[in-house]
Amino acid sequence: MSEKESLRFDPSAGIILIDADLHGRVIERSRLVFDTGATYCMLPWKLVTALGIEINQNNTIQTTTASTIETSPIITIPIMTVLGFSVKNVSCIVRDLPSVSGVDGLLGLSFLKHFKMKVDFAKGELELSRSRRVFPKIIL
Amino acid sequence: MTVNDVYEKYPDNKWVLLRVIKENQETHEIEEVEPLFVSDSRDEMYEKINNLPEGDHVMTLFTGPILKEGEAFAFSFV
Repeated sequence: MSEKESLRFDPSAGIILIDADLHGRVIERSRLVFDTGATYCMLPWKLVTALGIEINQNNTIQTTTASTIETSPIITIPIMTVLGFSVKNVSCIVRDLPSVSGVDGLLGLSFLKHFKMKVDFAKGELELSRSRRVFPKIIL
Repeated sequence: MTVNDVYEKYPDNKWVLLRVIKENQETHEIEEVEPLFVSDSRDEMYEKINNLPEGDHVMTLFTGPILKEGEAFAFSFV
């Protein structure tokens, strides 16, 4: 595992998709949209349930989207691995995207804040590296 | 096989349930897997998981493409 990992993406696709391995009762490889505009990662109910993570309806957070303000449950993913980098205890809100979207959810700042990122649309390359202040391979 | 091998073997919008043979205990990367079940339906795959013996170390993934031509994505949470 190097200090820096990169992902090739199609700059004309309109979104950057990243595979994230979510470790719970099972490991689910989810396809998330790279979203620096999202405070939290976001995952759908069915996926979270399959991970064996209990959704506490009393533990919620108010979320603002482009069109509405809504309340969503918030959970903790024990381990999330993206491009070979693992982060422990990642906060995620639970909310379904329209099924037509074909993606599971969002990779937001609750994961991304642990890294330095470089997005090169000319090359179609996203580079992720550990923040200098964080040295362990697994970030607590 | 590796996870990348799975994408090559099942390239057409499949939900795949895999037994994890080898996981790097330091980085948690999945290094070796064995396919257990392949389906067009995510729900079918989840049913299969529920019927697995307790403690089976498994992984799921979807092999298909996402957005179709002419579609866009606009969604952000604060």
